[in-house]
Amino acid sequence: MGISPATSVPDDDLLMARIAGGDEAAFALLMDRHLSRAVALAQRVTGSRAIADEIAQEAFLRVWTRAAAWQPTARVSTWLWRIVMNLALDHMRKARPTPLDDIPEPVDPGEDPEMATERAALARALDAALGGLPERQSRAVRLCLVDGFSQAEAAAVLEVSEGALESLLVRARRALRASLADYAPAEAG
Amino acid sequence: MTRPMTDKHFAELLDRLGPDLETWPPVLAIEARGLLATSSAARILLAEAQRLDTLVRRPAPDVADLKARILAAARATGQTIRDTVVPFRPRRFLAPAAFALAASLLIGVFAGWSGLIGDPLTTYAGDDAASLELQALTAGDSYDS
Repeated sequence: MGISPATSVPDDDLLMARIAGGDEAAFALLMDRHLSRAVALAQRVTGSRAIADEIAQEAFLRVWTRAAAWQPTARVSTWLWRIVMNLALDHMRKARPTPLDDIPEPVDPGEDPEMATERAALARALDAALGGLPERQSRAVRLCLVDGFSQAEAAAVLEVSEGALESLLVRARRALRASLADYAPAEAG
Repeated sequence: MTRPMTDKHFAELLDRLGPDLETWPPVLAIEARGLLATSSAARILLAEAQRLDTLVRRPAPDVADLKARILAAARATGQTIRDTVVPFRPRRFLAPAAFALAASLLIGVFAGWSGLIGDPLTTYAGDDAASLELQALTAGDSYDS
């Protein structure tokens, strides 16, 4: 806990202490660090950006109002992902469940068409590589490869062992590399 | 003494740990950087892994508007006001004081009702002349007339 000497940036534990005292700047900084991935995680589970925004807002308001009761027994980010995950799963229990394969990856309308095609081919390769996996494991791999979570974070949030996740990531990366080589052999060398 | 990392081992580690060496265990990251300094094949492997990572990775969602909404909602909850306007804990101090006051009142009523404490205006003061004089003064009587 404290300020990282190398960067003089307050760590998450220190930010939580300041948030408990009503420090809005600390709250904003914590959001700068984690809000986009909170949205990504919620969207990964619910398949909806609008619902993901609502879930992320609810999660961060809980951080704001409960910061004083927070105990640093785990990383702040892990605690936050847990809140987001539970809210997302609650939502999915109330809504009609959608199989993971039916949730399309969001499309960026401003993306270069060639890159979009390549990305779509990779998404299909990833689907094929993860086909047949339990949903929790498949989500963990996508969190790492697509949403930028660390292996430890994804494993903690989805309660998958890090060892199991690592071997799944190896499998997924190899499938993706093979797909990329098939798609654009001229660029591979 | 450990053997230097090989291209093959580096490729395996790229599949296991991804292309961001900052997230690798420190010892492996140092060995990998040593290999990258000397092996063009390792540099190609890393570049391919980074390209794959970039293609698969979804851009972080734009959350600027959402952040503003959350800040406004947080402000509306009044956490700052609650913490600064109430600088003490009222129950800790008020409850014992209220109990002591109520107990004093009850003891006083009981003592007066039971006669433990007499009315100084009506209690007989005996033959003590000073007491009689004080009683007369407080009652407004005059014995001079």
